[in-house]
Amino acid sequence: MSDNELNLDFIDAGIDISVLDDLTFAGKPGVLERLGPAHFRSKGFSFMGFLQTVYDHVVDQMMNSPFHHRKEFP
Amino acid sequence: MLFAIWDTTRLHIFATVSRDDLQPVEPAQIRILLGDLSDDALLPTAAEESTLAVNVPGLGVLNVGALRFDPAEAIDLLTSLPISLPSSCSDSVRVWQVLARLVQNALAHQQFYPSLRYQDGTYTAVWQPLIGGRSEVEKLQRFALAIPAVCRALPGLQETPPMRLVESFLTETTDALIRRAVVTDSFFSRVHERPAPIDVRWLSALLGQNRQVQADPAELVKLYDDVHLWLGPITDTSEWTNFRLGFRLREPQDGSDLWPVDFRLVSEETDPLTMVTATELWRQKPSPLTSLGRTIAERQEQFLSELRRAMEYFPSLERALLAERPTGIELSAPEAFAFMRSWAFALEDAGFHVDLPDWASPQDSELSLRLSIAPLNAPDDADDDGWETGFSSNPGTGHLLSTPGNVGLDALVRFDWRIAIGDQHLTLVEFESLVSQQSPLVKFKDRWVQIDLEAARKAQEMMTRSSRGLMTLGDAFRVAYGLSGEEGVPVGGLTGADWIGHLIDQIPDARLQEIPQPDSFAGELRPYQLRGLQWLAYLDRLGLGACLADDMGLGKTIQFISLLLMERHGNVPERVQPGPTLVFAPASVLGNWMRELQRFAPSLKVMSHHGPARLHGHAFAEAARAHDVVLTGYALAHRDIEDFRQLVWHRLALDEAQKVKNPSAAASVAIRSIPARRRVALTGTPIENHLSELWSIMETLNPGLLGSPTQFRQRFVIPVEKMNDHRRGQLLREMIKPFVLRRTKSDPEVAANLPQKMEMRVFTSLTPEQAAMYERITAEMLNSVENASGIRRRGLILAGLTRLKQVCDHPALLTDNKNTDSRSGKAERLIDMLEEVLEENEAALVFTQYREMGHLLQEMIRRRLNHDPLFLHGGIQVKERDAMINEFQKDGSQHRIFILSLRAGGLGLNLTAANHVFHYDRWWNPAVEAQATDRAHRIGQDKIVQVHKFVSIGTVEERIDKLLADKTALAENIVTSGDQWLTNLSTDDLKRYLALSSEAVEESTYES
Repeated sequence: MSDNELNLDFIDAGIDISVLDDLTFAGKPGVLERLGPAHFRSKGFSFMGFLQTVYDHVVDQMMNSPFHHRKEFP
Repeated sequence: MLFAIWDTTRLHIFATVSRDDLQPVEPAQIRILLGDLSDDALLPTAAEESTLAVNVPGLGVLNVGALRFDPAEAIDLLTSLPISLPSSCSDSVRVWQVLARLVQNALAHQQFYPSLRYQDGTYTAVWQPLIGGRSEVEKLQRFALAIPAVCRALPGLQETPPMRLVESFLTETTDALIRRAVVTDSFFSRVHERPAPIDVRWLSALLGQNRQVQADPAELVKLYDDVHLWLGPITDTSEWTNFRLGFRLREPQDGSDLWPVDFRLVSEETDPLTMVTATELWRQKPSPLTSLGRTIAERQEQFLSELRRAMEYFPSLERALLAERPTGIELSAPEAFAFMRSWAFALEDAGFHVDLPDWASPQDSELSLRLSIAPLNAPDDADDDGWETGFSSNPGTGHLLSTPGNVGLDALVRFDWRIAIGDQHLTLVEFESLVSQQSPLVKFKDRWVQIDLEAARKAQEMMTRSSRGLMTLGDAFRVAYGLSGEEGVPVGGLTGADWIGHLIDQIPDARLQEIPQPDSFAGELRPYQLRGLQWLAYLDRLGLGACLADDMGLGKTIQFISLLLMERHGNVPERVQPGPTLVFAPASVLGNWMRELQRFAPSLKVMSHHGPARLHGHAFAEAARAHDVVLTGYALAHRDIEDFRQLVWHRLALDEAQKVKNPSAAASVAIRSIPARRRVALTGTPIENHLSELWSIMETLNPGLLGSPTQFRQRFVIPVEKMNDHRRGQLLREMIKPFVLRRTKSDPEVAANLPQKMEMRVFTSLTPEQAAMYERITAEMLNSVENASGIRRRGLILAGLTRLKQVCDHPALLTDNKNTDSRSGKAERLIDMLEEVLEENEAALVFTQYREMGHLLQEMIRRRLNHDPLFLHGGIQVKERDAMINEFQKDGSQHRIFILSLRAGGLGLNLTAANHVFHYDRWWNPAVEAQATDRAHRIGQDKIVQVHKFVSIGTVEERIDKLLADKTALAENIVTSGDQWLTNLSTDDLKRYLALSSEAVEESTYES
């Protein structure tokens, strides 16, 4: 960490506070898809199947979150 | 004013009177302020209170009352606030709000992963967000540096790097949200059982409230390794595996003789490239406590490991590895020369990134001998470069009458060797001065040049022996491109003066450039086709063989036909009227040739030499002399060679010349022995990519030009095909350029003159087997309908018609013999054309009405073109269909041919990856065919679409195609009723439409 780069202002953020505004995850392949099957699978238990169910459930919860698609403050 | 502070586990909100008055307000007041802003007013109401010791610059530590939110509640609160925060919220609130939304989006897009942490002897299961690759992480780092100081104003936070603060917020909130999302369902209970395998216990720790994974220490160590190995593709990708070790060679500086090579890491996934120098890499200090620290340490270790791997290809690296933290190496001039000449390529082949100075490309900086030639009568050019005298090498100085007639490769020319570096000529003094330095890298006129000292010595010897004189044009080409002459002499091509300059630059002289389209040509040549005609005429005039290698569909045949017309119907005196041209073509395109000649050159007398009734001996010679064109198939070249050798032909032409690819084949040998004054080859294949084909075609067109097969193989085939020597390939392209004209649809001069959609008929012949079956089916059908009436008659006609169409497609559709090769003229032609499509790296749709035909084509394409086509028919499910379309449309798809049944694929699909559409059989309704064509020709298509409609000559297909083209009332009837209109015809009329004409069938042997 360099003091030259660190924002020292107590109240106001530096200009790079906007740098994440255009960061998007749309269109990226899901993590499980990229990881592929785990090699430490247990017999009699579908590790990936279970994990996929968890992922689907989390996504569903997020998409139905009341503030997920918030618009601008009027 | 509202402020927010994340203390690595919880979010605290406090407020001051205003931005200027930092006196804190009571928590009750904060609840009101937040309640007014939040869409969930209960959140602040229910929040617990805390007390913070905030260190304010200039004021010291202030104890302020605050509201405290657990990680999941923090996300709820922050995302319930308006995106555009009012001025009552400080930037510290915005900081955590931005990150909260990032977490929420990551989770909604499945960008999170289960992980396992080890700290202070404890293994904890935790969910983490996957923010992205290197560029995203860099953004996050910039963001972290920009957060206001108030975010770190609590005791203990001031020394915490902002990035760690940000990381802790992302991880803790992600973990909390996921645990909360699954807690209400029965996930935990499904994995929380004992005894359970270690990975299930890890899952249990990810889902319940206790993060700690309990197990035997050895099991935990193994689990830790397994988990991180599994996560490698996503965690490593974002940090390391996108990078390659790179080497940059720089010129010596500040009077040094040494050439520095810098080491660095290069990511080619970004544009421009992302680079990290080795110096920067070593400057990063890995911390044992953070994941980022581990990544830095791993990166440094991998850097060293890659350096060790590179040593195999770059031996001097051994010196660099003596240093603990290597950042580069310095090379002597011979080492730098070796780096530029060979090590760099070996390193690149081994997956390393190499940057050479701009001038290091050999063609720009390498010393070479160039042969300069000129006609005997060309004026001398005063020369002050130390080589005594020379002659003008400016092709623009050629004058109108300087082009001799029919000079051929045996014409004598004056030659003069020149030494060059790139495009720059050297005087003798300069050359000797460079060589005398005895260094492979020397400076010449402020630029670095490479000198192969051994080659330079040989060049000097040759110059001393014979620097100028006379030789034949053919020898000049061979010597200049290294096909004869001395081994090891760095020859670098040819320059020419006067008409030879025109020849090399493919620019016909002024008179030939003014040739207009022949009056008797029944059509209109496009500008590039007219230029093709002028070029063909120019090489014809010089007595040199020409290969017109335009892309499929650009009209090679009509350019050639216009050449025949030009020489017969221009201002040519009767006494020098040309004799007949002998055209060899594959059997499958002979019918097409006949149709094209009839359409565009009805004045030419055309003789077809094929079939059992063809003429032989004196009768053949007499008949041939009485015609302008004699068409025949390659299969007869050897069989009828004695007939062909009776005449000295005005011209010998080879269509689909790649068919003579085997120089030793009987047909190739026979064709080369046929006496002819001029020779022309037509091919749609880029012949420079197939060197044995190239030699064979060139040997027919310009015997001896490319040397003997052994010389050609040594000089070009082995370096280009076995050693991937691009420079040698480039030299070969230069050598053949005067004799090969190839334009593609994407060439600007061509594209500007082409419509976005080009429709063309492809006339194909029937094989004898097809013809016999066609006649038998027609006879049976006419016989059966003779005595039938009403619905039965209609049924018989429609059934017969289907069988006729199928026999035109392929006899295997109607017989038990499922062998597919050489039995269908159409199929053979389609395979040839698809081969060209694949060769050009283009893509095609093939429509057929018959599913079985699609299967046959699929099998033929797989076996003969070694390509796996997609096939969509009515039996394909929607999901599979969509997968096929996505596969075909994606960039770099391995499937570039898509066979579709017209019913299943004619509507609604977007297949713009294709720029060729083949209608293998006809629907006889232009609207239906147009809809199918529009799968490729629609919005999103950025290439010219070529539509090829196959028509079997002399069959019902051709008769109906002609009716439709004439746009008669009957044509309208055909369009609206499909095949039904035929059922209303009298038996006599039916016979007229269905009967096979004599021209339908071609020679029985199809070349493979």
